[in-house]
Amino acid sequence: MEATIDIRTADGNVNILLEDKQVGSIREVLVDLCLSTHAIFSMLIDAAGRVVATGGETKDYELEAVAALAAGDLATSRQLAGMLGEPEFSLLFQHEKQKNLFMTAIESDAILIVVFDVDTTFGALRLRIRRSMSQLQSILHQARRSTVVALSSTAAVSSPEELRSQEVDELMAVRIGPAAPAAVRVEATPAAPPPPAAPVAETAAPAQPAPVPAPAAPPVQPASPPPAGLPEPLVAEIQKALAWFESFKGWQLVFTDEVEFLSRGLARNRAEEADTLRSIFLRTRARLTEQKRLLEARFRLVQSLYQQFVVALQIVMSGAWHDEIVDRAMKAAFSGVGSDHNMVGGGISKREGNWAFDFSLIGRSLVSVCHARGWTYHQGMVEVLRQLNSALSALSAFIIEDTKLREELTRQWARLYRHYADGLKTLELEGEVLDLFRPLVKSGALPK
Amino acid sequence: MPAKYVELKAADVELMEAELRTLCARAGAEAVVLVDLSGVILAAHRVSDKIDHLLFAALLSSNFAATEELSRRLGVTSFRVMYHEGKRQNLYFDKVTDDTILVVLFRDSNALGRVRLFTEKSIVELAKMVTAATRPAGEAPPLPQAHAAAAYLEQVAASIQPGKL
Repeated sequence: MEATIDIRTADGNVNILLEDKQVGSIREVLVDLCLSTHAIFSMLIDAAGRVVATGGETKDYELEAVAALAAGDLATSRQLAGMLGEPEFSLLFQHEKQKNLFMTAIESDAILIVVFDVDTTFGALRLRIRRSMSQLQSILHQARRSTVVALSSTAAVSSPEELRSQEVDELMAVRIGPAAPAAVRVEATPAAPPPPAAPVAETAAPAQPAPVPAPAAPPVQPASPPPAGLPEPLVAEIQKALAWFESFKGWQLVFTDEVEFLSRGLARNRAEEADTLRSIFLRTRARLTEQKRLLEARFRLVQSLYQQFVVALQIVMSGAWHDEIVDRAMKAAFSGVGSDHNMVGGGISKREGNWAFDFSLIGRSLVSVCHARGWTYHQGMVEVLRQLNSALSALSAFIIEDTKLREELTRQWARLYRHYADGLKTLELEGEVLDLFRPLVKSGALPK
Repeated sequence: MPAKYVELKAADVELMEAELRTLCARAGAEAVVLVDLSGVILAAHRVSDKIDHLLFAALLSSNFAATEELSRRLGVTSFRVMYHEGKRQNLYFDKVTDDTILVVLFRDSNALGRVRLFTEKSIVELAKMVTAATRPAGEAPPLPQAHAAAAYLEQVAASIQPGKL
C-alpha cells in the first residue's frame, strides 16, 4: 500500500510513514472519541505541527494554525517539564462557558488534541481518552515498525530525480551491479550478483518505482565464486559510516534504528542480506546528507542571528556606552543566562573599559554543549535562541527607562525579526522561535 | 511600546510575597510564582534554586501566551486558566491581570479543587496590588531604581556563576 502521510519529529525528520489504511484507523478512533464524549473535534498532529488526521466538526476552525500553535505549546511544556524533572506534561485549558482543550503527547512524536465544550464532562473525557490513546499508540507503533521495514526496501530510497547527480554516482558505485550504465563508476571488486529484494520489503511499498535501475539482463557471473559474507566495499563503507556516527553523539539520536540495523547486519555478515543492508545504508546516507545540509543552514542562521543581535545592541548602547547602569546591565544580563553551559555569555568580555563581543565562541560552545548533553544541534540552537531571549528580557528591564534607547532596540529587533522570518519558516524552526518571540510581541517590544 | 508598566517598590514585593506565602500554605502548593507576560518574575515563593529562574519565567510566560493565542483561534474570548498535568507534579496557571499570571506548582497528591479555590481567592488580592503598581508609560521611573535593579541582577548572576564576568 502506498505511504501517504508522514509523522515528523520536532526537528523535521520523518519518523513514521502512515499508509491509507492506518490513517483510516486513526480517523476512526478520533471520530469514535468525539461521538462517545460529545467533543467538538479531535485531531492528531505531529511534533512538527502538521495535521495527520481529524475527527468531528472541524470546518469552523483553522486547523493548520491550531496544529502549529499546539505543537509549539507542547514543545515549551516539554521544556518546563524537563526543568521540573517531569517526563511529560499534558495540557488542559479551560473556559467553563466556552471551549476547553485537552492536549497530550502520544509516542513522543504525535500529539492528540481534543476540543470540547459544556456538553462534555472532563472526567468522562479523561476516562475515554485513555482507551483512544492506547488505540492510537498501537496504530502508531505498528506504523513505526512497518516504516523501519520499508527502510530496508529499495523502493523506500528517494528517487534518483530527487538526489543530486553526484549522489546518484556514489549510490551506483556502492551498489555492485555489472549492468550499471556506462556513465557511472563501477567498483572493480568482483562480487555476488544482488539477490532479489526481501519479501517484507515488497509488501511494504511495491507501488513506488525502484530508484536504482535493476539490471535488465541476467548479470554476468564473475569468474570467481561469490564470497560467503557481505561484499567488502559495502562493509568498508558501512564501517566508515558507523565510526562517523559514533563521533557525533547528537546525530546518532536521529538515526538510532538505522545504526542498530547496520551494526547488527555487519555482525551477522550474511551474503543474502547484502541488498537489504545496502539499501538501508544508502537511505541513511541520503537522509544524513539532507540532515547535514539542514543543520548547517540552521547553524549559520543562528550564528548570524546572534551576530546581528550583538551588533544591534552595540548600536543601541553606543550612546550610553560608558554609563555605569548600562555597564552593569550588560554584565548582569549576560552572566545571568543559564547556570551551566552558558552559550551566550561566553562570547562577551570587557576590554579597555568597553564590552567586546567574540562571535567565534558561540560555535565552539554550541558544539561542546550539544555533545555534553547528548542533544541534537537543533536542540542546541533552540537553546541558544532561548538564552538570547532571556538576555534580551533582562536587558529591556534597564532600557525601558530611556524611551530613545528602547525605541532603537525595538526597531533593531523588528528589523532582525523580519529579516529572518522567511528563513525560519523554510527551516521549520518558526514554531519554536515564534514562541520565544511571543513575550516580546506581547509586551509590545516587537510589532505583531 | 506598552501603554503602561508595573513599578514595584520593595514594600510591594514584600506584600505580594506574603500573599504567595499564604496561598502556598493554604493550597498545599510546592511553589508559587507571579510573572508578567514578558517573562519577568514579579514575586515568587519556594521556587527551587536548582531551576534557572530567568528561563523558568520565560518558559512559563511564553507557554501561557502561546496557549492564549491557541484559545483565540478556537474562538475563546476570555482565556484565564491553564493546567499542566504531569506524573508527579502539576502546574496551574491563572491570569491575574492582562499582563500578569500566577503559576502554582503542586504535587499530584494535592487536590486541584483546593488549589483552584485558594488561587482564585489570592488572585483578587494580587490583582489589586498589581493594578496599584501599574503606571502609564509616560512616567519614567526614577534612576536609583535602575541601580537597585542592576545590583539585584548582579547578585543573582553572582549566585549562579560565581567568578564569571
